[in-house]
Amino acid sequence: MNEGIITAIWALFFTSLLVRVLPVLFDFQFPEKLIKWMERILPLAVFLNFIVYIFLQEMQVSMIPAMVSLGITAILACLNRGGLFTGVLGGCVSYYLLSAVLA
Amino acid sequence: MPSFRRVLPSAIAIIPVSMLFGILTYRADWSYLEILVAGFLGFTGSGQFALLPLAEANAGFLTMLVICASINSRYFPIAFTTTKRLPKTFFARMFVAHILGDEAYATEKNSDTVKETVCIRLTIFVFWVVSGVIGAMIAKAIPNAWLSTDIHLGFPASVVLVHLSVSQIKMRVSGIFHMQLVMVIACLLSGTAFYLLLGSTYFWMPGIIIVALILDKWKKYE
Repeated sequence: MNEGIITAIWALFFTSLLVRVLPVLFDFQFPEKLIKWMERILPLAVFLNFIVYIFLQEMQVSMIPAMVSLGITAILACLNRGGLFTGVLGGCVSYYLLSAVLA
Repeated sequence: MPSFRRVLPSAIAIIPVSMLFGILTYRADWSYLEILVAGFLGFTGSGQFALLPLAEANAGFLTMLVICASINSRYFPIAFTTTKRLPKTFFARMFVAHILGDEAYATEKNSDTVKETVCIRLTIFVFWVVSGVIGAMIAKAIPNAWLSTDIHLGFPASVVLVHLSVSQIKMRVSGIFHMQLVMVIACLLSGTAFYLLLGSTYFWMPGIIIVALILDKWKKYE
């Protein structure tokens, strides 16, 4: 095994231990108010930042197709039309078509 | 099993992304075993892609750890919010925490049982690890010219994550906040400001904290 690859795998594994395993390993006793906050507010904050991250990352690759197709997906999800499959299909088809047209 | 049917579309959507990881690593002279171990022990998606050039450059462990932990810092608050639906035994708890992914988190519900959570996370994890190795096999089997295409293979995974995130947001804001549309726009603008200010690697923690504070101030009641 190449040394750089082994180091990368260890770094990935330690990252997982730090950010995913460590927070759940100990039975932290949080106040009831904080638990409610972590269940209601924190996930919402994460999902809103997911949206920002995905839109801005994809717009760096291809601005107009990404904005339009992710916008279509978001609207379909918001209106609850056709479920995940339709939303993903609508987003992907519009993205690849627009990419081909604008290329 | 309903939870398997729920997670299957997301698991299918990540196949091209993981295969792309397999293809790129194979072209960087990683063996099948290394690709398998990287997927199994280092299941982090974006982190795996980020470390590819660093592995080639033989960068140090600390450099790789800092970069990868920064990219994946979002999992820290996410992991805290999902502790209730994890197994109680030590190793099972560690393993299920380790296989937490973005798509799995966006598919899970607060009401999910331990069994449903394990099913959702394990499905995404297995699809990711196996697809990576299959990607490497494909890279070996087909000519290089076929691989130098401009098709953006990672896009379906982004679409799935947007769909799941919007669905989760819609479900979670209902009845708790005033003027929901204005609130969502304010939060998105705040996240965008942090992204532009700090970049895609370092915006996560401050972005999540500030949006959480905005949401906290916006709620109708305790």
